[in-house]
Amino acid sequence: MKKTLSLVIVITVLLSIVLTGCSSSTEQEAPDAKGPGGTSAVTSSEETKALKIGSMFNNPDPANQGGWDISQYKGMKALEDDYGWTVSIAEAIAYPQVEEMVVSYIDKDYDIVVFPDNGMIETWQDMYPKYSDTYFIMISSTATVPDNATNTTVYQADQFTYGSIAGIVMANMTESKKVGLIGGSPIGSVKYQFSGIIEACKAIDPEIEVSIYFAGDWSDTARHMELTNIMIEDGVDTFFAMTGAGDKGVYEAAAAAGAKVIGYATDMYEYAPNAIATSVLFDFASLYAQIGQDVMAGTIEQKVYPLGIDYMKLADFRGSVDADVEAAINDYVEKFRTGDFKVDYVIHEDILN
Amino acid sequence: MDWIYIGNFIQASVRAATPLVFGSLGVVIAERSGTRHISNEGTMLLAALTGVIGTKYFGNMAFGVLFSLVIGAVCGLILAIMMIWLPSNQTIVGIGFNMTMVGVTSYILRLGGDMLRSPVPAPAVKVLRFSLFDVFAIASALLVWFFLFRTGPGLKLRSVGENAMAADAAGINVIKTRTIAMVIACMFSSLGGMALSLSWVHVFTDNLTMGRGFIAMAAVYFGKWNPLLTTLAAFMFGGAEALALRSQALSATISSYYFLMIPYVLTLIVVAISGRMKGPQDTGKSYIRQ
Repeated sequence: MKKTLSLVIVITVLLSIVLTGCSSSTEQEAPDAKGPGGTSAVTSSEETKALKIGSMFNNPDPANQGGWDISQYKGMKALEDDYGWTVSIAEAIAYPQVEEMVVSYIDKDYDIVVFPDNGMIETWQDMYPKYSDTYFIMISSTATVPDNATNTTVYQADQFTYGSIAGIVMANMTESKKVGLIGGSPIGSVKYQFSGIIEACKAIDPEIEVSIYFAGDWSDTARHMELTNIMIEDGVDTFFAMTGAGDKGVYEAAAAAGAKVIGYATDMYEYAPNAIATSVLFDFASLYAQIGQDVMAGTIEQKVYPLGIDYMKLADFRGSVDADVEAAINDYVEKFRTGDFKVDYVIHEDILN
Repeated sequence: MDWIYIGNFIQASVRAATPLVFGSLGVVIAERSGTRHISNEGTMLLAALTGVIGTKYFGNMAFGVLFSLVIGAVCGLILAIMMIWLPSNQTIVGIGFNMTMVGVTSYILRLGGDMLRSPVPAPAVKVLRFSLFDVFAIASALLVWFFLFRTGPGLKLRSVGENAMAADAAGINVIKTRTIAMVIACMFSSLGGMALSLSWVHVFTDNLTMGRGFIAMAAVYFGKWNPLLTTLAAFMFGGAEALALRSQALSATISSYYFLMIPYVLTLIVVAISGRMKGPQDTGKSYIRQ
């Protein structure tokens, strides 16, 4: 009996190894997509028709969880259809494992590696000077590019402006004059974004109270739900969550209490139709399409590209608020876009305490 | 502080404690019989998913719970085969099982797509403000205590965990007893997972348990393998989590991490002050009949 069981286990393990080996060899047979030689992998339009792009997300299931990740995931994947590039996306990569993941991409001759979130800045800073044949793209709200860089570009999301738009929506929607913000972890980009929300609320109605809670984690659904419940008990009726997979806890608690949530980066309505009022979209589809065009044309530059208000817009409200509220929100956002409505640029350092 | 606040706090504490109570009762039963139940976390995670699958498939939460309990029992049997029958190192099997379940549940979640990602309805039946899971958790603690310390089979189970060789000499089938205990333990762990996904958050997400299976183990060690003390410890940890989240409102100048670490610091403190933990003598030791 014991021998038979042991034999079954050994065979299963061996089969797993063989099957894994088969899948590896299939991957190696993909078209040779190594970029042109020289200092950069993305300098010639002729030779970049089958580029290989690798990226990795800290959260699991970036295609379906956390607005920031979903938006970027879809943007990157669109490059496969638009240009026939190979786009590989790893998920649930802890920050200390990012370097190992990037090295494995480089070992497999990937031409471009995209770092999609702020938590990967340190790894990005360490790696791009070491691997000059690979091109590194950093999506961040705080990263900068040194003058001598030849193989990296930063797309800098203006989180304060983004937060201001979210704040405009929340300030117009709240009836209790209490809005709630939930962050995964207290990181730099959260500080800018939540500051924008606080200042926009203040500019519209100084009486609005803004509560801020951190889950200390991007994925713990139960903890996110409890934080939402705490704020609901306190009278908060409008929420915004800058977090990852834990956002489902926010939606569930808000939906149960009849409160509303502003979706982050992606139109989150399809993921939580009972809770989402609208979403402030970050247009990563356009960003990645632009990256694709620049790479193909060989015009991508080693600098910081700002991702400002042109990349932000509101998703459809689908009747979640009264028509006059929706009209007021759209009016404020339009005035903010044109500069007729101003939000004081004040960064609340204490948010990260 | 008013009564409403206190009521909400108690309700949040119970919500957070219920998965821990079930998980810790599973650990108590397994370890009282001599099998280390590190796989508690993985079993809870799998059950959290299968509870959602069963509820969606059968369109009824009761059937979902039954389905998940059956899966839990099968899990217990598989673990028993590996840890008791073969027998393999219990710690390594437990760790491996937990890691495997993270991958397995995430893989199944992706296969299930939007059907599995969407929420399940909240339990309709409530006793006062508590779900049936909460009520049953307390009843289970009493039942398990009664079984272990007031019945013959309970005595046999404990004797197997204290001294398997002596129990064998007394005519108790050690392998059979430990196998049955493991199956029941995994069913309790499964209830813990379901209390999380079906009763608390009403949805399954990747790695939903987030280490709560291990906190349940800490509750067992603090409760000295006694179901009632263990349940008390689980409620203490649940209360600490509820307090940690609420404490962020107290001060804007103190880091949120300071409050969020309260449950874990509490774990360290209680383990430190509870002195030398003397569990069942043969826990973790494989038994091979001479």
